Amino acid sequence: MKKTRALIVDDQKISRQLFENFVRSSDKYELIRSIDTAKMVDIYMARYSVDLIIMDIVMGDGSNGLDACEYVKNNYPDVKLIAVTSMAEASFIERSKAIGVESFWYKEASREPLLDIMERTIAGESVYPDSAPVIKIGLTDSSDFSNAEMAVLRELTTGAENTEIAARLQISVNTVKSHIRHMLDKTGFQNRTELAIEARLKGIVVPL
Amino acid sequence: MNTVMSIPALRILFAAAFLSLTWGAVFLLRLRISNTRFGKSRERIKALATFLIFACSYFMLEVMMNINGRRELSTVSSVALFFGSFPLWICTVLLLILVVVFIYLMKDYRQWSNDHISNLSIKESIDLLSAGVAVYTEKGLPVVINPVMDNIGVAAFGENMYGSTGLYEKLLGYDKDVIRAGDEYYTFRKNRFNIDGVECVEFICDNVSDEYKTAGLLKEENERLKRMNEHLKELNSTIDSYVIENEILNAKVMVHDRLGQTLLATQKYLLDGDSVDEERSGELLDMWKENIGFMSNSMDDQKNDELMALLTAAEDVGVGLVFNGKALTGDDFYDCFGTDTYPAHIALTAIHECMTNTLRHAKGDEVYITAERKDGSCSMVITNNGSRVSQVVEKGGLKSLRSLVENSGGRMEILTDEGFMLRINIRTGRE
Repeated sequence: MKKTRALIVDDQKISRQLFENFVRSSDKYELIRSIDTAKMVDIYMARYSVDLIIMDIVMGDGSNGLDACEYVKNNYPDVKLIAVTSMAEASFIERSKAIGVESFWYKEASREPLLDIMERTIAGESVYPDSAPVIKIGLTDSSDFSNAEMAVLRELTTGAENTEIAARLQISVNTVKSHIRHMLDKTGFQNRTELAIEARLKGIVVPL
Repeated sequence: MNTVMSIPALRILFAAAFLSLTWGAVFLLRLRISNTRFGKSRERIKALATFLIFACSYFMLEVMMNINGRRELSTVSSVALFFGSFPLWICTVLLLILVVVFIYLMKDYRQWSNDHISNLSIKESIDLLSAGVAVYTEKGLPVVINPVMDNIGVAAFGENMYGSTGLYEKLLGYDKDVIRAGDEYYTFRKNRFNIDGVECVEFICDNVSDEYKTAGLLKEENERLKRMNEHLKELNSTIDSYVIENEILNAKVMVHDRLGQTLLATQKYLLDGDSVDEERSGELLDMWKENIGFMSNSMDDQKNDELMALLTAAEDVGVGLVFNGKALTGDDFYDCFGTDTYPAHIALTAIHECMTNTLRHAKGDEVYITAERKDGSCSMVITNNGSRVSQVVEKGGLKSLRSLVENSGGRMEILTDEGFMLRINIRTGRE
């Protein structure tokens, strides 16, 4: 039986080892390479024939797994992709679906083992969690924030001022202030810095 | 027939009455004239009216008083004699008429006062304003100054309204929009206009202390928010490290948990004794292999810069990178392009793109880079040992590379006559 050729992309060595173990534990898979940056995916794809990629999204070197997924889908449409992350950032799921990533797996929060996800993905299934993990932030949960509030929060964590946030999101400054005020009310935080730090630490928003 | 002249007591009574009433009428008349618009004739009319009333009252008084009771006609004026010859009843009628006139004038003045604003009330109103108001003629004579402006003058300039033209000159020479008077802030404006042909200058100061203080507080708050945002930007880079470390910790915890499970499984296996089987042994062995695999390798990640990552990938995929005739090293590369410079970034992007295309399209395994730096620019030529390509379509990576090069003021050229050749010229002046 032809083995599924897998490429692992994750900047954390321990995560790569875990994924390597998953792949090696099954006779159905052949590990092609395990690399630590999404920046070199195009080189490995040009060199090797790959059927499945397990792609971490947030890399320590600033490279973006979702950008690499988009490159793969545009240039190698038959290759199956599983995006993995430990961040609760909700927009990752949306963007993954928009790119056409077949499956999505949360490293800590998913109850299904990755091996099951891999098998279902190779079988043609698309496996996505119902929603991002719910993380407690202050007095509320991350699920209490609206999409618009999350968008503002994402920009807020970059240290942008209200006028910059308004320009990036193409909304008014008053709308930005209103969203921030609502989030502060929900979380009970005293100021935007506290809100931004907590959101980043908990991985609720990740500015890519 | 009795005349007023012939009865001394009555004479004095009438004199007093006439005197009081005429003086009262004069006062009211002057007030009434002052508050109406006779313009320049006002003073003349006031003077004429006053003269007439005094004239009448003088003669009446002369008649009535006749203090010495002199009958010498030569000492009494003919007019007085004429009035003095009036019978008592005529004098009484005249007196009554004067009373009526007085009452009329009084009522008229009161009515007029209720229907009009007097100069005094205007002055009182200006004095009660919270704004400072001062009107001067062009020569510096004060027309009206209210206490607020006087206080502003003292607090801001050390000049009050009584100090000659000092305050006027200070106000006239002040050219800012805001005056600070002690702890209060005022807007300042001056206007010029004409009053009855006299050129005047008006100075008005509105109290904006609350707004000014609020603006000051807002400015401070904005500065504070700006500092917070800068702090957040700095924090972003450290938070990334924190998040990554957190991820590593979670993974390590999971590895330790798996080790714990393996130990427990092993303990049970050993304790079960006779009930062991090959399948169970195999599973246990796999678990130990996995755990030993984790522990035998370092869990720390090596951080590579962009060039090292490229060199690692090149070695891994079996592509040789030849730089100026020898294997590409970090030292040679950075000597040519500099460390952490924009030209270095463009060069690395070009090498990366060419390596990918060599593998994917040209099916080669060596990339040749020739680079030279001189006269404020770096030139690069990149070729490969792959098969010749007849046409190169710039899209994706090559398109992005061209944007990078041209946005930095450089030039990029792709030639396919003798195999693939990429030529780039980058200005090294841009860092």
